[in-house]
Amino acid sequence: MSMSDDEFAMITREIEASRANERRLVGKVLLALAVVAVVIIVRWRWAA
Amino acid sequence: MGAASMVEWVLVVFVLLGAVPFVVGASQYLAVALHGHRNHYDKAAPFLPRTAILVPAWNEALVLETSIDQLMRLEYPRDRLRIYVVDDASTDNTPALLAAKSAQYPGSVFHLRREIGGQGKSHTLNHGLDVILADDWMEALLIMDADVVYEPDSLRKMTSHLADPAVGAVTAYIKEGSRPGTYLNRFIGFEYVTAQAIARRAQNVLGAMACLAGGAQLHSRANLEALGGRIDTSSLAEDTITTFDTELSGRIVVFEPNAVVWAEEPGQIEGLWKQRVRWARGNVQVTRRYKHVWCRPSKTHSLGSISFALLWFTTLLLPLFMVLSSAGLVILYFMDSDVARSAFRGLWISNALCWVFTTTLALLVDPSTARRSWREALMFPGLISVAIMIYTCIPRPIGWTVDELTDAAGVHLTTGQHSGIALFFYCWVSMCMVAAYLVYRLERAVGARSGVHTRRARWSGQLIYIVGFGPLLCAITFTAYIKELRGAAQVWEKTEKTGQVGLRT
Repeated sequence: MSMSDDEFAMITREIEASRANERRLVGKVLLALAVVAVVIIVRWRWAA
Repeated sequence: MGAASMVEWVLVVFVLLGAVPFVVGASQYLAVALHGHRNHYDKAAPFLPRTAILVPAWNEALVLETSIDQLMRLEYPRDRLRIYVVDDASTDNTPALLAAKSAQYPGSVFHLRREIGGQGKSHTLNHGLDVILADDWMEALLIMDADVVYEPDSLRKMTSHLADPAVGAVTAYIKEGSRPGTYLNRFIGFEYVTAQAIARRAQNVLGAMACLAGGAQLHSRANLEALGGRIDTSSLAEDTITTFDTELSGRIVVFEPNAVVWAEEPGQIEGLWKQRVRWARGNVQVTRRYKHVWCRPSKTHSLGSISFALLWFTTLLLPLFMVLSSAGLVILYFMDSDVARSAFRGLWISNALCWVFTTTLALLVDPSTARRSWREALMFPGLISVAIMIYTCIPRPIGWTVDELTDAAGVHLTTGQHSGIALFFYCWVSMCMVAAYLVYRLERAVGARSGVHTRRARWSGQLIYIVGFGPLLCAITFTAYIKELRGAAQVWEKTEKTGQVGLRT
């Protein structure tokens, strides 16, 4: 299979970008959990 | 422990079963956090195999032009790409369109014609496979639907995973792309974030993929040959069967969330109902067919893991859990209303927390869909269920408000009326499915009287905001159970496409 160096480098960068994109998901999960924590606190405060 | 107390505990367990699918669902969302580290990118590499694209088409003239043109714009070497469209005895303009496209893209677009068609998608695919596998040009095969439009970089993002010979197949992130789209398309758009962007990442983490999307499944030649070069024709779930067989033979199936393709989905409940009953019946068939796989861990695949069985069966059995939960609440109410109230609150607080977590994360994971579908995301369980969740989480302010409103209106509820309201909400856990079914019937009835695509028909369908899109999907699954139990005929009902699909950002 023939692939130029430029093509190879570009696709390698794409794979790296995809990998980095997936690593950012940890922050999103933590943010969603923080929202749940807020709901729990609100629930607890109003129930008291 | 007395017999009555024992029965109460059993009923409480029944009630809490209603929360199990949501808790298991939320656990998938937690698994998404691991996808940054448990993924296949370490073994992916630049790889551009000679790829044949197989497109089954029956009366698809409205959609094929866009999808073929977009395929020819793929950022992929032209000499390593061939498109084979299998025309399943179309009676519309499909043959003429394909002749024109073959002339426009010589050596790239091939028109294969079945003179006798109508047997279903898998037969059409097998016709194309026979031709493609007959010579050794093809190194990878992409199976897609005629209406699907590919982002320019999507194919090479998928093929990079095939650089690892252990990978048998790769699927992409299918997004809802109808333009301008209806309220239902926006619901489906959000649903696809949960069912694909989230659930399939979690399945990557587990190492067990439930299904290669029919609109975007890339196979290595070795995998296709190991599968006998045929697609299963005996069920309504050929995609899932291909996926399972790939994994059972020890090959990996990868979901590539950054390869995005766009598909046109039904704009009205009637079309969605047909499509999803077919899918749900297929899942019931798969469950039976692979009964020797469930909960039997294996060294060659992860389909037999307990965690995958939990994901599969909690989704499949969701309608049953809802019925059991509701029945438990109603019986408990007549035995001990205080216990019923506590169980109800426990169930809905649990559901509320799962809903907040899953909805927030789904909106964060796909911001472009979030901008388009945030209302549908919030109303996915339906307005009534959302109101119940808010009430169970913050009962006092809601209770005060209701008291204020009823006092201001001069309405004073009797004990019997209070009981009626309580029973309504206890029944709602399962009756929401009946309500969703009634919305479907109403849309059909109005559509039949005034025309399927009239504003009035669309308006009646929008009652789904009150009843919930989730309950609609559960009602469809329930219908699939009934059809399978009755042994109803397997009819391949084509989903109507209009060609109003395109790339979105």
